[in-house]
Amino acid sequence: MEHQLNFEKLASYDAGESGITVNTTLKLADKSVSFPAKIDTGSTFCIFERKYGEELDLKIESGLFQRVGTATGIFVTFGFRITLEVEGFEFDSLVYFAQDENLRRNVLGRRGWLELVRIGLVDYEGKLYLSRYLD
Amino acid sequence: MRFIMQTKTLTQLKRQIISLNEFEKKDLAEFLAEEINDKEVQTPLLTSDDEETRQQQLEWLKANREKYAGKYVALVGNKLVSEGKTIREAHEKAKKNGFHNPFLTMLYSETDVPFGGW
Repeated sequence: MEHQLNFEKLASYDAGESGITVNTTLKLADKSVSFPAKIDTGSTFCIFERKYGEELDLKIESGLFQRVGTATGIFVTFGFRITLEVEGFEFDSLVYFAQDENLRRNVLGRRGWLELVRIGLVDYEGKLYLSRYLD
Repeated sequence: MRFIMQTKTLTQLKRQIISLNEFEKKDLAEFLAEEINDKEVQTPLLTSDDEETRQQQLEWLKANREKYAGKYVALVGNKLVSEGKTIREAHEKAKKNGFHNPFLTMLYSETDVPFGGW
């Protein structure tokens, strides 16, 4: 039995790079910041470096407190309602910024992004098919 | 100009429709009903709240996280319009309540430690 999905966009990524990296922009009021982030289906949240939140003039510790676990320990994040743009698709999402300024990871997880899109992946070719989920 | 052209096209279509038989008109009516219904259903999960509303929603999430921990909530402004175990369930309930494009998110208890990947 075959299954077919249609997507609005095909984005290419560098299959030689660590992780599946996509262009990501965070927007709040008249400010925005862009950087590469990795798709992480194992991550509950979208979590970004503290510095990107500060570039949006957010007072990081005023956000929604949330501890997050990893294979090696726990770290603290704070959540904010902002506009998240990935490969041209925009969402108003609750995303989290790490409290620790030394945490240098940017991941797109389930809540706030994966649950709002449909994705198809052909990692062999470095191809990411993407659509906003339309219910 | 564009509006005038659309009106002209619509008038031409109506003239053509008049010449259809009853069976064809019924078929066309069903097609149009499906088209309209599809447009209503295909509402992207995207809101465009202003900064004040976003801040109010963040405060709502802080104040209500323990009450709704483990559930999705759907907010319009700073009002809860539905809740559900899944994003789909919360969204469906919101739509039944007349809110097609709420802000949807899952709440966690302050003591929860969800997995952060990597």
